[in-house]
Amino acid sequence: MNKSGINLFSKKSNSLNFIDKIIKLDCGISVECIKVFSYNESYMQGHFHNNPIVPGSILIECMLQALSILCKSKNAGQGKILKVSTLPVINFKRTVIPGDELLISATIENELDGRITSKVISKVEGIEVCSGMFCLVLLNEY
Amino acid sequence: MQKNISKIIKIQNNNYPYLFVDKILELDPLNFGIGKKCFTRNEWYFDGQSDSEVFVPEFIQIEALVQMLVITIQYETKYEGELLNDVKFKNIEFFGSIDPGSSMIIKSKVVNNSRGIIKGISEGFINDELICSMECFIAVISELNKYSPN
Repeated sequence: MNKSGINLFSKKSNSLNFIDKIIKLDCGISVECIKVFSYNESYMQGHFHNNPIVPGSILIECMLQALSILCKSKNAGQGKILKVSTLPVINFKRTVIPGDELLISATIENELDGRITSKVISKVEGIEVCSGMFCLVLLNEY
Repeated sequence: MQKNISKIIKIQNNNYPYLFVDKILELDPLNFGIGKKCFTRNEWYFDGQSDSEVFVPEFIQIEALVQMLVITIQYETKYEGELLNDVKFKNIEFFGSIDPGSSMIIKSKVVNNSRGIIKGISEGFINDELICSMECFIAVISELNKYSPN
């Protein structure tokens, strides 16, 4: 699935969209997405000026957006909105730099009463760089 | 003891457009720090949102909490200007959403500092109400290398 397909799932426009490609989507079960990092992205200038590294918080946002695509693929059109509740643990194993291609795999582990628990792993060239547990809640749209 | 943005730029490595602490209100180096971040509609991360739904994204809140802890670690200490890396974030919690126009007071505390790994807690408050909190583990690369096996 390319960028236009992703926009069906995500309300965010270009500057805040951190998913480039969906490789595999098993609705409501798992998803694999790609994000490539370029030096031209605005946040690289400030983090850091002479030593560009992808910020840990941007990696978290990439994983959250992949997870959001997965949750919305199951609950699309049901008038629900998705909110982040808790992130119990996020581990960073390696730094990510411009030119790296991040493969994000998200799996839903548990879904009960609108509370979703999920595990997300991100890899660069087959090596795990970041992983975490995410708890989201599905709320009714106002 | 208040410090403004020009001092903040000097003591740590983050810069525009990825610097999310505007003012230091109180600071005891390597112990605790209180800072302030003002969220205004002109900032780049609001551009990506639809007009009907404008709020501060969760990853920006996380980064602001981490940066205040980094300032507490680096301000007038032996770690000033050093490269720091995120190792682990734990128990990140969000208790509400933040609208543009809000000012977040960030309170950070260093809990433990051992062999280049620093553990700290950061909390964000809006109008004295807790809005987000987290525990984080940060590595001081040069210090960590001293204890790494060759």
